[in-house]
Amino acid sequence: MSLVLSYSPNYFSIDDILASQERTPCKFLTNVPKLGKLNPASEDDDLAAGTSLELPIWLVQPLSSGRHAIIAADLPRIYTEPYREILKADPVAVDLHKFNLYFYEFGLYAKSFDIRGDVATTLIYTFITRFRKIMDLADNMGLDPLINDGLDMLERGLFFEGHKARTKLNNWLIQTGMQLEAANMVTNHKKRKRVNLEDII
Amino acid sequence: MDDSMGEQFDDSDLNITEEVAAPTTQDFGLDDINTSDTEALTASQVIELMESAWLNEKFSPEILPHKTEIVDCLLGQISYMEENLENLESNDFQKSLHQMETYRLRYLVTSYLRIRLEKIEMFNYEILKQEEVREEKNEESYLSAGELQFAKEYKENLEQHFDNVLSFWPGLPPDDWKKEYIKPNLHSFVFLKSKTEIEGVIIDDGNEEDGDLVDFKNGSQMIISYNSVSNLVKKGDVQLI
Amino acid sequence: MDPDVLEFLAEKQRVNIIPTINSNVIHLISGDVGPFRAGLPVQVPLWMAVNLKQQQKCKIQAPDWMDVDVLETIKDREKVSRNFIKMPSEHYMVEAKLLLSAAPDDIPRTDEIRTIIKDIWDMRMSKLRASVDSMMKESGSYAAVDNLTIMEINSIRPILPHALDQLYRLKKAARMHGSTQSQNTTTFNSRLTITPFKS
Repeated sequence: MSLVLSYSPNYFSIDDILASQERTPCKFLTNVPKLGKLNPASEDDDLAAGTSLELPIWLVQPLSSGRHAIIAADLPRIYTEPYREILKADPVAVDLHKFNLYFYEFGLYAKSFDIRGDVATTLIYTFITRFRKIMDLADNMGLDPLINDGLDMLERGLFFEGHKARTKLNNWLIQTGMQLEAANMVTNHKKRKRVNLEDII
Repeated sequence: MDDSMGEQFDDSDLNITEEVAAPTTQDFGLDDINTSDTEALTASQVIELMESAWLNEKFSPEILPHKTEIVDCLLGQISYMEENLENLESNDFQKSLHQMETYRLRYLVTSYLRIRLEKIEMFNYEILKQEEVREEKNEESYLSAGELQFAKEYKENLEQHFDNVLSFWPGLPPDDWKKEYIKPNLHSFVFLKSKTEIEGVIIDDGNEEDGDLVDFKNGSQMIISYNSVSNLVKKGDVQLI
Repeated sequence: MDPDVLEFLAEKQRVNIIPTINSNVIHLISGDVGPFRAGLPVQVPLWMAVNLKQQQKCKIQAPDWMDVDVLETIKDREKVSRNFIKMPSEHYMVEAKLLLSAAPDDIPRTDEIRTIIKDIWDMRMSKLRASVDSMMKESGSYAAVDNLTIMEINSIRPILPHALDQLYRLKKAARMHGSTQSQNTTTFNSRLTITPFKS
């Protein structure tokens, strides 16, 4: 592929399909006949009003909107205030991968259940603050397979493309005979340490 | 890149004398080539235009108006040169240099055409739809005749393929994917160099109200969203880099 | 863009060579080159200079800036300047790479030249990283990148433009808060029709 396009969701995007698969807590407002099997805790044929379940967000969103809403949606746990506070305190230290594989994409869907707009603000702050880390990881010469574990899928995409380009550039630079290899690794290490210190302060 | 090209020529045992016959392309490069009724360009100007079109196409998210005249003109020059080279002795000192140049120029043209084909495949529905709109408005087509044919055939094959595959799944609504076709992200960020003074470029920063106004000096370089400058790219006032 | 492609782009740059052979004018498509008279300097494209040097048909004259004193001055200016200073050549890295490796015997003090160019490159790279970081932090919607050479610009591609693209998506979504129809929603609403839940 010579077109290097940044990610944007489309009908065929696997990431978008998987992100919209993520489960969202919701409560049924009406009885739904014959859907009892959705609730593993019950043996009834019908799903009773008041039942709380976690359903994929692609299903929750249309069922919870409009005049004939069947369910009331809640904010997924990782976007609720306690989690937002953790992200506000130090986004770089957070293992986003553990929060959710599709932290940003899922967040873009989930934000419609957040009337005050705090989720969207958190997404932006988290992304901006963590960017330096992604850039540093991408610029590093060696690739530690565990290194991108803390990144969500969107960040991984950025890291992966950035690292690929950086590796090509470094290989090219090595051909210049300017002995950049060793020096580059050292300066990067220093920079990363310094940046981390600044972040802690 | 040229190292590998160079290796293909075995001219290490060349014996160059002062009397190397110039190839029969004496007036090449001096001749003016008509690319349109109004402009007369030298071959080196054509190459510059080709390079500029190649870089613009490489970096713009959408397909740009075709440059068939330039492509044809340059391909004509290359073929003419290649024909002439056949008449030269294989150990002619100048021959390898001419060959290297034709390889370089061929790379330029093919890379440009490949990028466009990739876009036509990726954004097939969107591009064909835009072409229809342009046709209705009597505007110039962005695709060359060959590209348009390719785009249409690609679309037919795609639809045929989907029909075949989806027929195994009777419950599937077969046409949904056609409505949700892939569009280029026109807001993608690009790097550019201004070729002239431009005042009051409106920056699309996504806000409802108008964005900032920016002035470009001749030669100034920016990172900016493509849709803020797409018309300037098409007019040739800025070069994507 | 691959650095190799940038190298290709830079190879049309003209440099001076001193041929060791004689030849008539070569009528290239891109323009005439020569005539070549042994011992007399002549301008040729970089790709040709490297090729002729490999065949030992010429000596290469280093560009004026490829000189220890000139480069030291540039390095000092780069060090004290907050912005990027204008480099003597748009393709200084490619020219340095190709000429220094093809013609170490023609260019004096190649090792020192390599070291200074590397220092300048490193200095500019670290400035560039800092500006990229602040552009993200300020979440700017455009920025001047004056005096950066194409190889330097390419070093932050695609990570910077792609990150800005994502940031724009997030910012746009933030402005649309309250409305349930996010940009993404349309996508899965139409996928939804394949489910038995369609109302």
